[in-house]
Amino acid sequence: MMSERTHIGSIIGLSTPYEFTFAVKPGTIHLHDFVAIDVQDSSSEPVKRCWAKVVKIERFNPLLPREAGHEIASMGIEAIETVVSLSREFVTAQGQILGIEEEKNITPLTYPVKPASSVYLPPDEEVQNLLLGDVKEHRKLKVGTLRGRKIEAVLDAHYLVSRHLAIFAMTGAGKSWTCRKILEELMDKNYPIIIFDPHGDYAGMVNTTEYADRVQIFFPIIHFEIWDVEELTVLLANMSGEEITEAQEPIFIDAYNFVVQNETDCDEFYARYSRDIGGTIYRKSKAGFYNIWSVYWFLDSIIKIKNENMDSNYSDLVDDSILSANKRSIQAIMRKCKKMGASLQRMQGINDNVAQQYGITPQTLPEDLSTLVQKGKTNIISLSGYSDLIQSAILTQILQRLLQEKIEGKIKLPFLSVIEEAHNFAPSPSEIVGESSASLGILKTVATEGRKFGMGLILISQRPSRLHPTVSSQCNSFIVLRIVNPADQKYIRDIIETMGEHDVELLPELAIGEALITGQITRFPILAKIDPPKSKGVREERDLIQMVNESE
Amino acid sequence: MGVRETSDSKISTRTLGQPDILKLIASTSLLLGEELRNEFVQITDLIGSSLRDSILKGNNVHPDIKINMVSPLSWSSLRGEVVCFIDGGVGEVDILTKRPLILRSGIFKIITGERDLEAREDFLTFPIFVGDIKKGLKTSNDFSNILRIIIECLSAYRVSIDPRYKDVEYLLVHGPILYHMSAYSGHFVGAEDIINIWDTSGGQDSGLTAHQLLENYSKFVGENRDNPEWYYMNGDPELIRMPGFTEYLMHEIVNAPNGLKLTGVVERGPQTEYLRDYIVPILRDVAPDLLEQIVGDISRMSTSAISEKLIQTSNYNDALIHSLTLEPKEYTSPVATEQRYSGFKNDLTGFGTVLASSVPISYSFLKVRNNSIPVRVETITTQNDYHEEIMSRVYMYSTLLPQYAFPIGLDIVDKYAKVPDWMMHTLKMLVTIKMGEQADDVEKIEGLRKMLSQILISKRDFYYRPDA
Repeated sequence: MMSERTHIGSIIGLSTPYEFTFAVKPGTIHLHDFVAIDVQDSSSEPVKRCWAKVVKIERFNPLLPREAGHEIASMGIEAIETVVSLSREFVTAQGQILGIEEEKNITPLTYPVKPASSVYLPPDEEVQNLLLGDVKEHRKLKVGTLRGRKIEAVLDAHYLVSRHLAIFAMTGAGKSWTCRKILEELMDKNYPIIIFDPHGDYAGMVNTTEYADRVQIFFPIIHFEIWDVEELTVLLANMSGEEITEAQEPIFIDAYNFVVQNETDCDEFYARYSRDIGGTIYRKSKAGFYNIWSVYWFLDSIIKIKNENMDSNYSDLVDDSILSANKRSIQAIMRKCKKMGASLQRMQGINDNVAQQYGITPQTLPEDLSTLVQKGKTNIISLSGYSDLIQSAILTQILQRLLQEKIEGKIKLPFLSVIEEAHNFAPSPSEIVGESSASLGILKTVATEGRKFGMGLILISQRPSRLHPTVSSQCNSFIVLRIVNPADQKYIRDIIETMGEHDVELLPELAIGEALITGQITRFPILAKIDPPKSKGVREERDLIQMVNESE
Repeated sequence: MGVRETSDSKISTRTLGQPDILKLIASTSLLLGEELRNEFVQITDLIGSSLRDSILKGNNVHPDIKINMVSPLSWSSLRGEVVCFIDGGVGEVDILTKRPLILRSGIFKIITGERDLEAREDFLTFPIFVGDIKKGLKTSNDFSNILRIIIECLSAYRVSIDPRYKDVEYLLVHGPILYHMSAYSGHFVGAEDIINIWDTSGGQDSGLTAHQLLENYSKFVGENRDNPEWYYMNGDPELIRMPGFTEYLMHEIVNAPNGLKLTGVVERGPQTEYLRDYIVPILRDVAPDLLEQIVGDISRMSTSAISEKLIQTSNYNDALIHSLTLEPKEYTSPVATEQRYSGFKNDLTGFGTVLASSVPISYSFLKVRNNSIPVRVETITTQNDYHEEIMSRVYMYSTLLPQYAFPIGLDIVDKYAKVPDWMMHTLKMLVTIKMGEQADDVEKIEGLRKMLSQILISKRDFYYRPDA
């Protein structure tokens, strides 16, 4: 812990009110360190402290000619074995000015700092105070430490839950790790959280002693009846992998409406069918998902009715478009429904497996979704196993209802929604092929309007450039971990105003769990090492080779 | 299908493998008369081959001249050796005069292969204003060179007595160490200036004050030399003769208890000493026909006349000739430099003999890389038993700069001790102000000068600052 100021360099060259260059005593600073310079407008004015952040460091040995370096390399020896000089190095750094400290405020610098001024590292405690500003104690979220220093990285919880946060990182860089750390800190403050978990990354929270009684995991079932039938038609085509022809479309729409909506007619139909044909058909054999099977069995019964030439017996109950439809068209719709139903069953099975892995008894979502928002409770909506399309549909249904109930006042408390793989739920226009993504609309709405109703978002993505700009631009804070993809780096530079060129250059170099944090949750952009969360992620890297060797 | 024969095919593979040297010879041929121009490259190549062949066989008038190969060494075998590199230099200000205004010297000590950076390297550098020197032939063109030699020589002397350098085995100087020769016979420096330079460079830190240094010099002269006039101008102890003083310093360096092996490495220059003394006699002996193709009938010419005409006609010099006779890693056996002491006249006539025997200097040529021009290496004749190991080290240090083919330690100290641009810029400003305001505010200018002196002496560049 640094308790006294340490002089580490002198300002050289040109300085402006925004930045300066300084010669550095080798080995004394690191990138993103906070440094300070004492400034004085005139001898009668008090000395004030100007804060700056190290955004660039260059190291150069002027006494080592390049050709000597090449020669030593080709000899296959170390430079230190020879007589070349290795002790005299230029270290030059660039400081980005944060402002002048006045009372507890930081005000912009309006006149450049004096060349030759001494640059120093203030004591850790003073850097900590700079970063915290006047953040109230109950709003502090301690997520890690500044890289290379023993200074806590503390975020402002209020801005995190109210102004939306985006967490960007490539696979394996620590997105879920970082998010779990934040969520655990928020849970300690009893903040209600709903996590949409497409890969089971958060299922481990259920088995973490500290949070077991506060975390619940749900395995939702899709409720087709709240869907617009046209959207469902698209879903049917996508999930079956077959195009729905103009002749087939009205058959499906009418059949679906009949099965889902016309309860009285349905009952009469089933009774009459049982009497005429002597068969049994299935209606809502299992709530929600199996509605599609109800359509299938309904159409199967129509085929049988047509085979018996009993169409006229049902003309008062069933639309003519179905009864008069070509049998081949009806059978085509049945085939599609069968595929979709089977697909949904398979997905449900995978989701159940995740639950079993964690010894969790799968629970379906409560009818009353407002019960998901409770003080001190975190609810995980497990979407493992479902295709993107279904995940998108489920998220849409849930968020729409939550927003509606929040607007209507049925949900009293504010809450935070965590959207993993956000680029799948709110894809950028270039990523959307054909029809629009189902969840994009609701995410746009929550991102733009949610703040007014106390609905905060954490969007997590490994491909930020594929995230819809309307959604990401509504995030006021960002945590960016290692990013290598140039398109993603460019996207990040474009959407995050506080992310400079030097910061972006740093992104591919970040170690696992190291993050650039910027936006309203922190007074100044910081480079932090995120502390390990207490909970484990289901997909945390395992040694697969060892796993195989240890198997029987 | 066979390769068509060109005129190039008559030139040896060794010469063809050295494009820079071939280019040098070819460009010289353009200056020659038409009758010689076309054949010059080929004649030069043949001269190189004949010389090499003759020296290797030893069948010529100088059978004692040999071509040797440096001992194979690895860097790990040099680990722990302590070596010092010294460079003196000048800083010029482009204002009214091109004369140097600042002289400086740098010392770079390094323990080869040492991994502890604190212990591994040691730098020392200091500047001297020419304007601070009171005595001497300031109008002579040689004056700044004389001062550079004095400073460089004092630095080498410092290495021989200062406990800071007690473990140094090899001392390499950038340039010749043949300081005490007749060419500088008329030059002298003031005792006061010696004191100033010694104090400015922190010489007293070695445990020897400037006054003690001068007393020791006086004692040396009294005990060992018959004629004080050779050492003091007009016998005045305040006016110290440059050849006498450098002889004293060299004598002390060579005889220091730590057994320093002193070496000067000279960059490729236009010197023709070796050509006149050894090459032309050998050529006259083994390849007179080749010589005649360049200088004409030599039957009635003296060797020195042939040398003169050869140099005049062909632009040959020592470095070029050795480019053609040496292969990489080869060096010539050391030869003496007696003739450099022959110019002392009148009262100083006997002084040359004394100097030649006091600290005799030898020199040889070393070729580092195939396409590099050999460097001239000056050593102390009395240390010739160590000649092979010295040459091996010069070679090893030079391999790290394959293009320049010059010891890297000397390149490092040259950069380190360089008078930086900002210092010269400030000095230029100072001189300009002084010229413009001389009559108005002398006190202010003097204050500025002193301040600058202090900066130059105590701080220098933040990174290149001398160690405390």
